[in-house]
Amino acid sequence: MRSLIHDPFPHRDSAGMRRRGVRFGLDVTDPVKVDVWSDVACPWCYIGKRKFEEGARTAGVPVEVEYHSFELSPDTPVDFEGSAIEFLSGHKGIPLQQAKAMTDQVSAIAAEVGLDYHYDDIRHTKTLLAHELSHFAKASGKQLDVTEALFKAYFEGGGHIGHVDDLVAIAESVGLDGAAAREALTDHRYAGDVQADLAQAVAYGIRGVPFFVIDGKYGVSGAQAPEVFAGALTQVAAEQAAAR
Amino acid sequence: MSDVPAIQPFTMLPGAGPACEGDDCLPAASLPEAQPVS
Repeated sequence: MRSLIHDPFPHRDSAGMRRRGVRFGLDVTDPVKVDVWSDVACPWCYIGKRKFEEGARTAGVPVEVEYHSFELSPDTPVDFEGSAIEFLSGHKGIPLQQAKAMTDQVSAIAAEVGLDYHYDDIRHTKTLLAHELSHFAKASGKQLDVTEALFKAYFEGGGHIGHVDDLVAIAESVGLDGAAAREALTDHRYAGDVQADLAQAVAYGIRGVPFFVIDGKYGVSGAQAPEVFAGALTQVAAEQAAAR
Repeated sequence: MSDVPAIQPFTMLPGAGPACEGDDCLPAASLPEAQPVS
């Protein structure tokens, strides 16, 4: 579904048609499609989301964003007793103090883009079911809302995102039907879509996230600076205008 | 990871930002230096 549009020019005429916006001499009528591979438990993905959004604002190019599933740690248990820092310490075999220093560094970078990470409160969990919720939300045109809500719950709110009940609450928080979400998650209706995303990532050689594909033409790896995204979007908008 | 060569129908822009790859998500952080005992 291509209905998830972040539009810096949200002005539409009475017929519901998007007005033509012009920035830097470009005709930017058509939104630029951006595919993003991301995992909820990826601190750089939330930071990268903010940097991309800033880049899109700067460029003044309307974008249509679609999130795709990427599971960084498939062996992570749904229920882990302890903090994310304790998990990191145990998993990597490093002292708690060192794990804490690492998370503090990321939290400081997150703060630079307006995010308030609370690593002490993070409920480390498997993210596969959260990805199924993302696809459920996509079918209703609410994927961006759910993506933001999942990141916020995980990194800022100390919320658990591994159980059906938790995910239904997140679905309802963005206006989705809770009963329908519960049914879809219980039946794993979107498990195939998640696997298709994971397979596509492998086919593209995507090994790390966030990973952005802009207009199917340009790949951007990692949480790069807003200027990188702005430049790529401006370039694509110029190419689209020239092709008309 | 598959041994099949990746097919990327897009051009990678130069550079790379911080990212998570597998379990490697966080920047390496050295332990604070030990304070001399006075």
